[in-house]
Amino acid sequence: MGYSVEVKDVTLSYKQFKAIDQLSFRLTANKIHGLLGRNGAGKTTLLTVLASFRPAKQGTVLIDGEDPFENERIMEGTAFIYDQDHTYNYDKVDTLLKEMRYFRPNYDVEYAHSLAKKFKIPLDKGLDQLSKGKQSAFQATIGLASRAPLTIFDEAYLGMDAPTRELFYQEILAEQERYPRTIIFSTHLVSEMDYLFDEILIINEGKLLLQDSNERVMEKGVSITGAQADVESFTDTLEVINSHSLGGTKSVMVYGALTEQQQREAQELGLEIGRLSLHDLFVHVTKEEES
Amino acid sequence: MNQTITRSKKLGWGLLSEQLKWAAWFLVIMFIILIGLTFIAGIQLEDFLISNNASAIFMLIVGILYTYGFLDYYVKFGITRKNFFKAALFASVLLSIVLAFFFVLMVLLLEGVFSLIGIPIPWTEGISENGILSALTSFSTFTITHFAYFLIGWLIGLGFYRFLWKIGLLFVAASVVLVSLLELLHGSLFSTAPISLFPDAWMITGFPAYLITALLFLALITVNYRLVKDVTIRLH
Repeated sequence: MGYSVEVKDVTLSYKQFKAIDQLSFRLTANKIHGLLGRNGAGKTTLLTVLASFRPAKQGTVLIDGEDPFENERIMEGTAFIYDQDHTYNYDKVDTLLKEMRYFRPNYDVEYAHSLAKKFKIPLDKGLDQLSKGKQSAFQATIGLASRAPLTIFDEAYLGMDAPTRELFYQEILAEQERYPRTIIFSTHLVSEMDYLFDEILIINEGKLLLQDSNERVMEKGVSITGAQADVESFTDTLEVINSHSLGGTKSVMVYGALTEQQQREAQELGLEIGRLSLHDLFVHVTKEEES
Repeated sequence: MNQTITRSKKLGWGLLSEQLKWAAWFLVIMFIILIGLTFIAGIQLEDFLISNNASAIFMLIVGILYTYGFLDYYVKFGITRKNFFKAALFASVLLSIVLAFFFVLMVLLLEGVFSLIGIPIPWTEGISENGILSALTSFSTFTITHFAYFLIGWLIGLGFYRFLWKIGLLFVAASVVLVSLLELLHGSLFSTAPISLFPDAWMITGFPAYLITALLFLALITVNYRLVKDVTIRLH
């Protein structure tokens, strides 16, 4: 059901500023892709091209094998959910939830209502009257219930409190099992959502820095925890990207995989080797590019 | 293809039903204002019908709002610009006709009420004075005026949405020229007073006026489509 995405040599400039610079990548259908990048990295610009909000003037975009711009099938199958301003939307939530049937062929109005209940969104209120968090939950509801073959969430959780965000994430996973689709999730809250992603893309200054499966990205480094002196001596020659100390214990994030010999040494020293945090990796690779 | 046609039609009816609600409000408010001005204030409205500004300005505003209120909304829900354009054209033609019909009906009703209670009609060239032909003429000229102002409003709205305010202002200037041109073809139904760009001597009447009007409409529709077809939808 999900759409595949192919972006080839896409460049997009705002006057002199290149928001996207010769960007190329492919997204496999029916997976959740985490799109990470710092502020101004070009994430939203890229997503507006995928959602046909703007044409790709330089380069090619193919969604499900076709140019998406002004393509009826692809556009109605692409839902772009972002932090929208609803100040002037006076329609009642219930009306809006029902109206979506017209726009999205796979839209499930009953599921939308059940989500609205879960998110505690009042159906009889105007959208403009809802709190910021409830407006975000409304957006998430539309995004999920549309069951669009390509669903894009761009910082869609802004304003939601932590329990609502958690509910949203759980719902994404449950929905993905029921009706698999291609989801692109652009976010800053890396540490909170890393378990959602099948694939990860990191972009910086409009260029692709890294694209791989979540597992392979996690293999790009390790966490090492143990007695402070042992950890420090062991990691002396390694590329440490973050460290925390508590009492005599130290935990460090290391960029780069350990050799078999290094793994044996660590074991002998009684050091605990764990998974790299995506957050730390993200900060590290984007920082490196900055310098 | 069939699905595309059905979608545009459905969208067109949806757009029309929304604007008919606005039009109903407009007519009710106009009715109350006209009754109030005549009965309570005893004001003479003289050229109220000759220059029919009220419903024309209503259509101008509908046209301006089309891009910010509707195009923006629908494309965000996956409707193509082309489908929206077709639906908008369909809805606006029908709205121009329906509004002209009910506007004429409202004026006839008011003129009937005035003559029934024996007070003079407070505007010149009342529709009921010259029978059915006068009503039909008013209906057709109002329809043309409505559609013209709608297209001009749509052009201005698109100019601002697509190019932001500085270049948007140029679209306002272009619209003043367009209305002045229409004034040459249809007289005081279109007016940019106190600005007078073209001398009265240039006025064209009869069939050539309607032919040029049709060509102007065609040109405006083409320009509006050119502005819509690849417009960047703004994130707000």
